[in-house]
Amino acid sequence: MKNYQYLTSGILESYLLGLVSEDEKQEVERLAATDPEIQAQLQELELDIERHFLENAVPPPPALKYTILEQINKTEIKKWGTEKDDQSKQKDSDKSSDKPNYIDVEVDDTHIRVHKYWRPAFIAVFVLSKIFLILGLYYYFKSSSLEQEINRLKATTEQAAPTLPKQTQ
Amino acid sequence: MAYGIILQIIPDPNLAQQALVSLFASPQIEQCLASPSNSPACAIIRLARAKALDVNRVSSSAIGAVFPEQSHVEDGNMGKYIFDLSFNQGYELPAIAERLKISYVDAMKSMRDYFKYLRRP
Repeated sequence: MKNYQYLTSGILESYLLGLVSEDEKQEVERLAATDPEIQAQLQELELDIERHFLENAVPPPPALKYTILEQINKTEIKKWGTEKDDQSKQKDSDKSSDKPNYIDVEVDDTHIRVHKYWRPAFIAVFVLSKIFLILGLYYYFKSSSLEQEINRLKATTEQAAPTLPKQTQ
Repeated sequence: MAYGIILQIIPDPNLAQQALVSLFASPQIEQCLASPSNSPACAIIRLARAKALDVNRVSSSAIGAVFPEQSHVEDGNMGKYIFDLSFNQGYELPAIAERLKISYVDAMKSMRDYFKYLRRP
């Protein structure tokens, strides 16, 4: 009976929407931890509230996604910088006179973002490297075949050379 | 979902977008989503509301400026009206109950009835 009154009092809906006071919030959390009925009711209400807000959802402008990602990146760098600031303060003070003040950025993912001009630059470098490789191989084989030809001619000349004086005598 | 909630509270799209960016860049969102006790959707709803109310408060100082009169409200719309005052405008439930001359329990029950009405297929 007490549970029914509590479940129908509206406090659970208010709690899920963040409309209750701190005391009421703690009370709901305490009761939900001990009472499975309240916990089940909370889960059901969560789904209903989620469904309601999803049905009335408005998509933000697509360009806003990039602004949010940019802002998150800025915040991450700032946060990381603040955390590391205290640790490296002593180290920095020793080195700051010699080196410029760079910010070390720690990236969790394995992807990097580069300027779009890197793609044609990479393709150009790749094609040029292939051309130079082919040219290198061509001239290598050409020079080795020429060397073989020279050696062959030398051998022929050496073979022919001792007979010449005899013929002249 | 978060943008829809923010727009309910801040009708100006520019301010609403500002609030959305600020919401997703805030450290609280990480904490809320990491917490195992809360559902992520409800955590985002609460945070989006709090952020929108903050932005609204700073931009227009609307809270406490005008409290709509009860005479405009029909009995059938009481739940919706209380929900709007509480969720969208940021008034506290005891203050709403006092101004509407109803008990705190009735104010919360009206909210519940409004949600029951919304849940109807």
